[in-house]
Amino acid sequence: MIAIALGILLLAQNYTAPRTPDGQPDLQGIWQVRNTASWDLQDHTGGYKIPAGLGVVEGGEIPYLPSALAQKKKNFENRLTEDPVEKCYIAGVPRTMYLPFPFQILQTPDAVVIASEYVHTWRWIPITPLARYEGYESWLGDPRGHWEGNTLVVESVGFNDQTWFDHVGNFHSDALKLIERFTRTAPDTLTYEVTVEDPKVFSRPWKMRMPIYQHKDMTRVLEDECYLNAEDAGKPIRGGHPEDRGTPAAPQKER
Amino acid sequence: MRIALALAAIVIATSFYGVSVFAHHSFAAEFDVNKPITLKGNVTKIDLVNPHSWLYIDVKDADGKVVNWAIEMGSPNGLIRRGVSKTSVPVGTEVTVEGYRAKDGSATANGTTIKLPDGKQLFAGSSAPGAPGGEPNR
Amino acid sequence: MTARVACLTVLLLALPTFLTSQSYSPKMTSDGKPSLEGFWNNQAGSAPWDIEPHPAAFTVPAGTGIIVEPSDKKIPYKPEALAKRNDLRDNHIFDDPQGHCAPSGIPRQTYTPFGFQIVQPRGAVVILYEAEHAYRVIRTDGSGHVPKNIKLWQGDSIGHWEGNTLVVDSTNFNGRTWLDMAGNFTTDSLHVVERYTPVDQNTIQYEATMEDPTIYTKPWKMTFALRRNTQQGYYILEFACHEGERDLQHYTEDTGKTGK
Repeated sequence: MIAIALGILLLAQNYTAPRTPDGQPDLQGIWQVRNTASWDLQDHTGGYKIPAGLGVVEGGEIPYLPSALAQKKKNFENRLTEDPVEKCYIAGVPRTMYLPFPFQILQTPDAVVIASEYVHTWRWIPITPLARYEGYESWLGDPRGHWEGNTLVVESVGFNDQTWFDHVGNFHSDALKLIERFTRTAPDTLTYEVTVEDPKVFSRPWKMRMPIYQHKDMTRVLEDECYLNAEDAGKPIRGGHPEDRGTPAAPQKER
Repeated sequence: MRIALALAAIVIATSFYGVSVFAHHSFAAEFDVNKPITLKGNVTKIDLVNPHSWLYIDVKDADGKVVNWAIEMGSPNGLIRRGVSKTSVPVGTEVTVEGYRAKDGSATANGTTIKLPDGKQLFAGSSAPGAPGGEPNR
Repeated sequence: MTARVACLTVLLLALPTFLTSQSYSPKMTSDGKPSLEGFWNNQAGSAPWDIEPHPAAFTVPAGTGIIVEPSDKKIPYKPEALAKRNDLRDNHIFDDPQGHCAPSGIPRQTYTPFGFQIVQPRGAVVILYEAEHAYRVIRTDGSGHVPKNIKLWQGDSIGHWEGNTLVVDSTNFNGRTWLDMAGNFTTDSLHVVERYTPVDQNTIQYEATMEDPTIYTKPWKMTFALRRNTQQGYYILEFACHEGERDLQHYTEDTGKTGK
């Protein structure tokens, strides 16, 4: 039995991803995780609306600055209403990659597109150099990719502070910087590794790592239009600045 | 001085802005063309979000009571491409807004023009016609 | 102008487009398909407000619409469907799903402003739209449509090439989308055939044929140009609609009535 496991391990280590006809490592296909990182990145037993699972954090600990712990606690206590995914908001990066929804990877020589089933989220990762718009902030960040051997390396900055890493409230600030690494380590497996850096929240960079598995039964991802479904069910999600929610207006000069 | 320079940069950056505007929804669903309004107040917040950016201003009414008004502008994407960011409009900046009130009577208006004290126009994307902002479709 | 001169004029005006579309050879992708890659803006004018001819109204520019068949430029509705369209337009404009941040559907996504990007891997044409961060993956790998009970906001699109033209066949719509802000609604029987024809380096002629025997008396067609966006350093920005929308909370029972 040990010999078989070792054999499989050796085979996996000898695997090299096929190349596209244009010469890049081929990561294309429809992919989805089998873990529960979207609920909790760390080792966790089952809880209310949280399936059990093993953690994906290298070393197990997420190195929060002491000043950030209060926010983490607040997030956890309010997770049922404040988790952005509970509000059907864009899940951000890297959480979009480990949501319980499939995503598709498509490649050209110049770019990699990642298209998720969850709220029609798409990421366009240019492989050729492209300057960023200064001051631009977004839910998914502003990615730039390049190949290192068989690995797609994606560096992203330009995040807003609105997304969480998981349902239990692991979070970041707008200073977030991510480096993602995608490597096809078996015919139906991507190994996905993320280095997280955020000096406003964490005392040092930290990493997560997980396998992502290929779907063999689908020609496309479908649609999860979460907030539209909520509206259909009579539970619309309305955002807005608290100050403009039906504040009666004082009399003003009308022209 | 720094604030004046920052504001000057925005005025210059957007003064040549095209006039093609677009709202993702119909203007009439929310705002009243028969209720034009002028508001003078100080900026408390600017949110460069889609589908509309929002400028929040504290406005003092006749009784001296301060009401915080929400002013709807256009999509920020065109402005972002011109270098506008969340730090571009300092809190406290005095502005005069012309626009149209929301039908529901809340302290909400669709902004047509936003002017600085010297009369120069700040970016003001809105669903109303003739207003700059939003994303011009070339 | 006599009818004959008018006909000749129309033919002469169409000739350059016809000739260029026949003689223009677009750049090819590495797998030998015409490349439509790049950033594009539609030239559909005020179609987002109303795809039929319409006068100016407050906030709405006048327009001749984008419909070319039938010749009156109006959607050939069955009578009961026309009544429904008029009711939506006059009394329920707040129900336009685009105002609720729904994906716009096809073909409305093409003429919603904010530009889009075409990316062509092998076996697919991917369109990334800035509006509502919507996207489509048009399969050109020969696979058929998904089962008919799968109903989607953007439908299901499969494409093939006819010469330089990408022909896209879309079905499996959920019937929830509108074609504009003027109440022109759709059903889940909609079938759309789009044609993307590059006519020069910076222009694609776009055409969509709309078929739905439950609400239309016959198929009808729209057309407009797509122009390449050549701004230096331009790329599509994120449009997080649901996350940032603050309008729906202000819609009340009668705000849907037009203020004409």
